[in-house]
Amino acid sequence: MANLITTLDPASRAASRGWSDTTIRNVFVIPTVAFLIIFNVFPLLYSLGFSFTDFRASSKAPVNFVGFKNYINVLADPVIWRTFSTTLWYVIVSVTGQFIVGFGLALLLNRPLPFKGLLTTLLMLPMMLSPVVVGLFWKLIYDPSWGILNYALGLGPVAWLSDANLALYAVAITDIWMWSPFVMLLSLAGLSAVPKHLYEAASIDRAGKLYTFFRITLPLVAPILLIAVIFRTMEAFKTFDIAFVMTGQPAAELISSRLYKMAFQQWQTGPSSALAYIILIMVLCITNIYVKYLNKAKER
Amino acid sequence: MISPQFNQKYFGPASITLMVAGIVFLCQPWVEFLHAWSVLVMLIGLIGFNISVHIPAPEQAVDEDDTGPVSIAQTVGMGGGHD
Repeated sequence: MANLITTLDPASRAASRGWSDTTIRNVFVIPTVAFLIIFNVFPLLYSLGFSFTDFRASSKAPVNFVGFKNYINVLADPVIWRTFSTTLWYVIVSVTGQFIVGFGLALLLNRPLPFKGLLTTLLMLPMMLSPVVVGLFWKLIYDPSWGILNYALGLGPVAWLSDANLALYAVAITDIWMWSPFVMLLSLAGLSAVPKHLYEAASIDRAGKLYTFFRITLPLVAPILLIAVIFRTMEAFKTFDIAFVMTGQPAAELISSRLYKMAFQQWQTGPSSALAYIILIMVLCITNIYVKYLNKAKER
Repeated sequence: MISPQFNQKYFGPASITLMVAGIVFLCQPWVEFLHAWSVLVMLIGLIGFNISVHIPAPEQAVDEDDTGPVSIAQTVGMGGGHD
């Protein structure tokens, strides 16, 4: 190898050594940081400014500074309050469902099975589809007149998506169907990393299946499960596409849909920026709490 | 200045409690007063938490008499075992 390098010309020798730190900085780091500043940091700060004004993107009227008025109005709006409660309930139902289904599937797949690879790939298909496509697809499944769900369950013409009591659960079921494979994938990674000798030791000690599950499997998989729950909780709070495509039922309106309506249908740019910041603060709090407990789990 | 002991015992947990309480206040459907002040509660918790995580953990008291874990391999290697 040393002989080969010494026979190369200087440029090739430099290439074989790799790029210098300055080149890497100029080619990769600076463009990435510039991109992030232009498309992430700048809009973030710009919308923070909007949240303190009465700016409307559809109007040329002069912009006035209104202080915290937008935040006060948003928090005093009963429709937004109801939407927050609906979103929390949706997150609880959806993430719990994904966790149960995803972890259950991972436990089933974490054993010798014929066609295991094919089965895993097929189970992961929903996650790879576009959320809008999934929403439209499930809208057909839920159709009260000729949808396959009512037919398969032998129900009458149940209007899943226009019934105020069912619409939210119908959207949550779709989200569970779509994102359980994500939880399954992470859980499967965690389960396959559990050392086999622990199970052997447990079986020598005549530990029961439940005892082995709660004392060996669950504690060792917990950190990775927590990561899955973090991701899914944050995503569920921001759910927009599936719910927006599937139903216009006010009882199933999520906070992102309300934000979209305020910002791009009613053109209340200032108040919608304030609402976006409230959601951001909430998501940051959730992330911090989860990361704190994730670090604690790692230390154990 | 917040001492590491105070941070570990009171300040950090209080910040987390405020963040959780803020989220609950924001999304609960019963008391409007709590909903109206929820963002402020979350923000105080969030700022407190970010201060808390930047305060180093208190140093653990070291037991002078503790010689640490006993390693058989080390003992044998140092000539302490049977020849």
